[in-house]
Amino acid sequence: MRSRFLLTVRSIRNSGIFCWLVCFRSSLTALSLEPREKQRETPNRDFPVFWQQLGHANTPFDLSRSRGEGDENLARLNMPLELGMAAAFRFERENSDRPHRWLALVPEGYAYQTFVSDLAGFDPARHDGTVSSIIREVSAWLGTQDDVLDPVPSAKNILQSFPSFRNELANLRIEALEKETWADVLLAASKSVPVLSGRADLEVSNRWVLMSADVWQTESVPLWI
Amino acid sequence: MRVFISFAHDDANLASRLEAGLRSNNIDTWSALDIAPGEDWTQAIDKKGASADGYVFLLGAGASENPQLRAEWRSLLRNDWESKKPLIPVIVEHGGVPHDLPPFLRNRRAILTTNFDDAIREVRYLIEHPSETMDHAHELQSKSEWVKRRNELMDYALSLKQEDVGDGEAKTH
Repeated sequence: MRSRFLLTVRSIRNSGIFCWLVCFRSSLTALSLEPREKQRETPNRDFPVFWQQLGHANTPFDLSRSRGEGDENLARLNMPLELGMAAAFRFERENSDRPHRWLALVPEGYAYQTFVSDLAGFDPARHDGTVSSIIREVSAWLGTQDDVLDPVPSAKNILQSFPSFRNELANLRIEALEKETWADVLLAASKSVPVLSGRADLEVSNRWVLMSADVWQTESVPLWI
Repeated sequence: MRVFISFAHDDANLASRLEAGLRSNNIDTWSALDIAPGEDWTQAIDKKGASADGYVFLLGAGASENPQLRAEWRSLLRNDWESKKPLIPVIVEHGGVPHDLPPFLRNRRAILTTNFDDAIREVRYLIEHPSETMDHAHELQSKSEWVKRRNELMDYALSLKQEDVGDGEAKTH
């Protein structure tokens, strides 16, 4: 039986993916860290690390998972390494025709914000472990990037469409016997891209508003429970 | 009514004039010029952005490539995630205009600073009439763009599905 924890992690990951699929037209690297303090609070428990590296628009996001190891429950060192790579690529490819853009999403209230900012001169986005906060942050970042839809959908547009994406993906997951592919994610997103104008769309929009209220209730679950 | 003015360092003088012009029109303003020495920049922007009723963006050449300005925009967009506040781009014409507005402002009516007094009047009008800040012609374009994006995604998904089926059949044989 899938735990609530996993469902929450999956929803949060998917919210970032959905934002990107709806808005973005070119490459993207995104990264999220989990607080070290939380590792200590949850010994020997899996903790999720979002490491989403996209070499080009068609490469799937990847959710890598690490486990605290040893007596001190230390994290594997892949995250600092990958963060360093992202920061280095960003400067190396600055002003090139293949810029390396990435977004660090860090939880509210931890020292990572200072750490990442000091490391790369970059202000990471903050989230509180909810779908709405991820969508708010990712869409705010996307709104300042090139190669996005013109005009770029607002965070509200995306949040209203997210329940549709989630439901589509859940159906495709069942059809695929829990082994959904990247094609399924794309297919679910394609059916959920917000198209809001005209009377008919307004009616759809109202329905989505109701559904998004459901998101607020069900997804506002702490990442660590 | 309180307005947040976002500007790059090079446009500080113009921002100061704009603040003075709006304040003389009974519009309360706040900008990075009002940050006290030693005050945390990020926190101040976040807090004042949240309490503002609308945002004015001074945009000169190269504004979109300015990382500090981008960080400020992100903070403001985060505080207006429901898209309820008027966003007003003001294009600063010194040494060339920006070749394109940042994506989140492309569906907004832009104001040129050719005549400063006119610009002040226009900003004031748009602040008082938020619905007028939208560029409706550009908004209409969104429908076709978003439909196009939806079709792109679906076509690609279906082509991947086809490849998956092909791979599966190849393994079976």
